[in-house]
Amino acid sequence: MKETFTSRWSLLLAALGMAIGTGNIWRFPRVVAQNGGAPFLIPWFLFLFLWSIPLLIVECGMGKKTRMGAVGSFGCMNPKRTWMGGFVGFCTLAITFYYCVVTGWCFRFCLASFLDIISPGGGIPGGGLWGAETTVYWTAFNATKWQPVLFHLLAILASSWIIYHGVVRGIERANRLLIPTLFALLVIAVIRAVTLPGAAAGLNFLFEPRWRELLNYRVWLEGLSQSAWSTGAGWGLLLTYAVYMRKNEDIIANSFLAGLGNNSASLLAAMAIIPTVFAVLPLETARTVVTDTGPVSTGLTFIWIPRLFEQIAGGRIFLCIFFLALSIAALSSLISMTELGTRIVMDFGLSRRKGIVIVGLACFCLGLPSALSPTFFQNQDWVWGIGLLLSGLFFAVTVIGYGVERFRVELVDSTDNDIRLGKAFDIAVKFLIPIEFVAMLTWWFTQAILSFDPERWWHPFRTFSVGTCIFQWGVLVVLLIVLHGPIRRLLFERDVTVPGSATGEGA
Amino acid sequence: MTGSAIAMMIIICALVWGGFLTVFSVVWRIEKRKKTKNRAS
Repeated sequence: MKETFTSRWSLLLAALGMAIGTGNIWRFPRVVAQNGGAPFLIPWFLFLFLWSIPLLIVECGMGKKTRMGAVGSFGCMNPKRTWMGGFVGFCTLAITFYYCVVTGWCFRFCLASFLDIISPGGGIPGGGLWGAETTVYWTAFNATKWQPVLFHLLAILASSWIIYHGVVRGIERANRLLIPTLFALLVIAVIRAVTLPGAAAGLNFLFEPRWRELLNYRVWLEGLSQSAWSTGAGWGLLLTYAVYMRKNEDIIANSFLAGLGNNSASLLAAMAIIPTVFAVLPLETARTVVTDTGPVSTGLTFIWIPRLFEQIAGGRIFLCIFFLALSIAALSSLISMTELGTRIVMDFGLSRRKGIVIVGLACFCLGLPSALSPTFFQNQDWVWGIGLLLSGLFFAVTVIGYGVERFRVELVDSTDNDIRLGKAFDIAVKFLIPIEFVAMLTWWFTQAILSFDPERWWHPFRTFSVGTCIFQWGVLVVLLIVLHGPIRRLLFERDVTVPGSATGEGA
Repeated sequence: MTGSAIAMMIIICALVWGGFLTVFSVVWRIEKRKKTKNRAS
């Protein structure tokens, strides 16, 4: 008997924890600034309804119907598509391997900013972020090698410890504390930022409608990509939480709340960071800083933010608040990622404890190269970040195969739900998601060919090439197809009472 | 801040936060109604 969330609010907080991650606080403000501010916000908001929410609904529906993790649920929907579930599961796990490293960085900087509060002289080892040359600080942190590895391990231990306690005492309790705290910290940060003298220039930069920018296809594709990555739609994470939904739980309103809550957090983060940059720095420097990518995309967050907070009153406390919010966002997402892996292992008949040990060890060992090598980190971020778009397509393809209308009638517009969607859902899944996938894949691959690595875009062992994506995805797909039979036998022939296995399209 | 930036800020915030808070309040009311119904039965 599987555990279930004790209330709808617990499920919602867990879903928000899954959706809100480092992408909201770290990536979003930079991408908004790079794409002209307000004009970017329009496609970003629009694609929430045209990509993210339909996929969140599909995930919720599949998880609730099949009561199995990413691999098993695809197999239940159609036995021939179990390999697609394997791709979705591995893709998210591959992201988890380096996301543990990122969470470790957040923990390290949060600790440093906290130590700087309790020891303003910088006497405690591990502090010293305050007043430091942050580029040197960041380089020194990475050069020690043991520090990124240690904090990578701490991130894994923290998320494993939480999910070890199960759904109610672990995931539910943690998110009840983490998510309200995160929103409170973000609100405090926004209030501080917008009340700084000169913050209006930042708000102006963020919200000035430059309508001509909307004619730029890049703004639309970046908006779509941000929406696809930030909400966690198509990652299999909400599917995993939906396994623990109560029997008559709503799908549609919950998916809308997860998506809108994610965008609310992103907007709060942008309104906390961009006005701060413009309040402290001269206009032209501020414009450069908010768009600074830096080493492994750390420019704005880890290099500039500490420097900027030094120049505002109460900066030490607000720096700590910022890194605490970032750490909470990272941890709440890492919990859902670790649970995804553990649920998949549990579907093979192993206990939660064994599942956590297997996933934890895999995260530590396979995350080590990313902790030690920025190049490897960037390659994995590129390959599996784009792979997520493929995961999203696999969800749509599986529901199309099952019958979009049948899926909608049975699950989306059923009596369990508070809202009805109607045929808009069919159109989104059948047409919009495949079209959006083609647009995004073409866009990112074209960028790789024309600007990231024009000389060797086909090479399988280059950091940002098309070849490395095709090669790594290809190896995974071949392995999954070869192991398709044994995987199916282990998942379904072990237990004949698996719910949903007799109702699938191909069953 | 320019007038158009203020207008845009209000629209975006209303759409994103307003959207979230509206769905949240709808769900809140539904849950409250369900609770009252369950108690009555």
